[in-house]
Formats: sequence, structure tokens, C-alpha cells
Amino acid sequence: MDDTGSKGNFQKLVFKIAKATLITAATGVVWLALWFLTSIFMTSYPQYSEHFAVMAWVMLFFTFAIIISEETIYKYIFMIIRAFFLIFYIAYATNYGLLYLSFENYTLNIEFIPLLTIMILANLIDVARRLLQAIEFASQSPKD
Amino acid sequence: MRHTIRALGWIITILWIILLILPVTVAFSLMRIIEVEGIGIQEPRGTITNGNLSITIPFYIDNAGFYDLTDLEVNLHIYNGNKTLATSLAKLPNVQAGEVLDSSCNFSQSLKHILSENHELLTKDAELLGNASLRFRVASTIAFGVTTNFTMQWGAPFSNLATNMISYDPGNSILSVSVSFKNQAFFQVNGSIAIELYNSAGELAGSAVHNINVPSGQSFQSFINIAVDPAKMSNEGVFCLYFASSKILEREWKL
Repeated sequence: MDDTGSKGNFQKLVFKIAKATLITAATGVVWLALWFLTSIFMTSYPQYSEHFAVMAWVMLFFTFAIIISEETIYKYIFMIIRAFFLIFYIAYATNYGLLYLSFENYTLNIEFIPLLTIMILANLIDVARRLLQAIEFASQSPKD
Repeated sequence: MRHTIRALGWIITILWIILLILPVTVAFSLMRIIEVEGIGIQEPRGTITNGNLSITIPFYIDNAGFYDLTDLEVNLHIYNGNKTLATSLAKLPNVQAGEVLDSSCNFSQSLKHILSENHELLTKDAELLGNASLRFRVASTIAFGVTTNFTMQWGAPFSNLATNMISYDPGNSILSVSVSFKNQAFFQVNGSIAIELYNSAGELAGSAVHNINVPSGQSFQSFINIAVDPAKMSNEGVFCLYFASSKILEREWKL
């Protein structure tokens, strides 16, 4: 009985890992496409590749971790950490909403603090939502 | 709790849609302005009147995009080497989508003030350095600032300034001086030239004022008759040439 149970758990885990790998790979393809689309316009922003790579790899990690931790409280914890990561990393990578680009004889500066504020707001609301989901999840009995 | 979670989900979705659509549409709006060459500078105009140098640089903004342009600001600095020659800050009215704005950057500086530090600009051509910046906000959310450095040729308004003593008529106590120059500046030179004649003792022996009006690119040549005081007249001395109360030339003379 125990043997059958652990075998079932193992199969479940293998299935979860396979599912997480597939979805993470698919997400990776989307990030790669996004990279090809955006890098054309961002040649004058030298740190873009580095910031984009960090962002993509961390997001892929969270995609994998969230799928692996499905049906557990950790899923919500990962989602909350991801939201905080997005807030801090995007704010840092975009120089808090002020970008300076140089091309030929021109210097272009773009200030998008209102957009950054909307992004922070959206992620803070997401944190609140995930907290509520985590509370709801924790309040359900194991048999539910 | 489910309803709250769902409502929060909708709010997040709406915020992310705004967050993704806004920059893309702003970029398209700017591309449309660039396509129609919606920002352009026209030929600068300048005049010297009443001892003031006024330069006007007209420009236009054709907002062919679909968002209003707000908080428009044009900042211009012109340098002669390390010295700031002129600055101009123009705050412009908002340009609604589909509207065209015609405006200009205006400099007005006392010639005396300019010449106190940049005397050579009156008689010698120079290469001036400029720094221009344009700032504006699109859709009231994203602000753009473009800054560029440029060089501009300065044509001297009194280029090749030459003066020669022509003759002295002791009977009438009139001294004739020929003055010639070419106005290489892009503006018309309008005002009065004053000549002061000093004798060997440094006393003012005579003076004359001559009104000039020389369009850009034109040469000027004229004789100026100076009524001199015979008692103070000597065989040599110094004479000074002034334009708009600023000394542009000082040289020795000899009969």
C-alpha cells in the first residue's frame, strides 16, 4: 500500500516536473521572441541586454517554481515574491523611470514615472490578491 | 472573498493592458510626427536696433500623432568658446492632436553687453557652439527630452572694417574719413556710426555721426566728414569708431 502510494507520488512529481519544464520552455520561447522584437529598438541602451537577461531568467525560474508548487501554499508565496521582484527590479532597471539614450549627436531622455507607478500599483494589488488566495487556500481543510 | 479576488484580478488586468498599450501607442504617435517631419527649424532672423541684438529662430511643431503634446519647452544656449553668448528658454502652449504650432525662440541682448566679452564678433567671423533641447510630454504620462549640440557660423557685421584719412580742409576745418566694411551677418545692421577724433594731446578735436542701414551680405562704403576744432587740431592722433555706443575700432591717424 505504502509502496503504491510513494510510487503514485513519484509519478505525480515526475508529471509535475515534465509539465513545469514544458511550460517554462514555452515561456522561454516567448521571452526569446520578445527579446528579438525589442532589441532592434534598444541598440542605443547598452544595459538593455543585461537587464532583459536577468529579468527573463528570473521570470523563467518563477514560472517553473510556481508550476512545481501547484496545490501548495508555496505557489502563492512564489507569486508574491515574483510581484515584489517585478516592482524592485523594473524600478531599478529603468533607473526609476528615467532613461537616457544617446545616438549620433543626440541625447534622448525619457521620463515615464507615471507608467512605473501604474506598474507598482498593479503588482501591489497582485500581492494583495495572492495573499487573499493564500488565506483562502489555507482555510480549506485538507480533504477539500 | 472569491468576489474580491476576482475583482482584484480584473483591476490588475486593466492596469497591465493600460501599461502595455500606452507606450506602444505613444511610440506610434511619435513615429507619425517624425514621418511628416513634424518638428522643424526655419531660417533665423536678426536685427540690430537701438543698441540691441535681436535674433529670432522660428520653428514649427505639426502634431500629426494622436495624443496631445503638453509641457513643451525649448531651451537654447549659444557659446563663443567657453563664454555663454545667449540663452533662451521658451515655454510653449500645448499642441492638441492634429494641430500645428508656429513659434520661435527669441534672443534679445544689449550689444554693449555682448561686446564687453566678445568684442571680436563685430569684426571677425567665428564658429559658435550651440546646445538646443526640446522637452514635451505625450499623453500626459511620458515625457521626452531631446538635446543636441551644433555649430553655427557667425558672420561679422563689420567684416573687413577699414578706415582711411582722405583729406583735411583747413579752410572749413573738415576732415574726411572713408569707412568701409561688409555686413557678413545674417541680419541687417541698422543704427549710427560715431567717429571721435583725438589730437596728439588726447583732446577731442572733433566728432561726427553717420546713420547706416546695411542689409545682410551687402558692402558699405562712405565718406564721413568730421567738423574739427582748428584750435585743437594737430598732425596726428587717434580716432575711435563707435557703433551703438560700443567702440568697434581705435586707430592712429596722421596727416
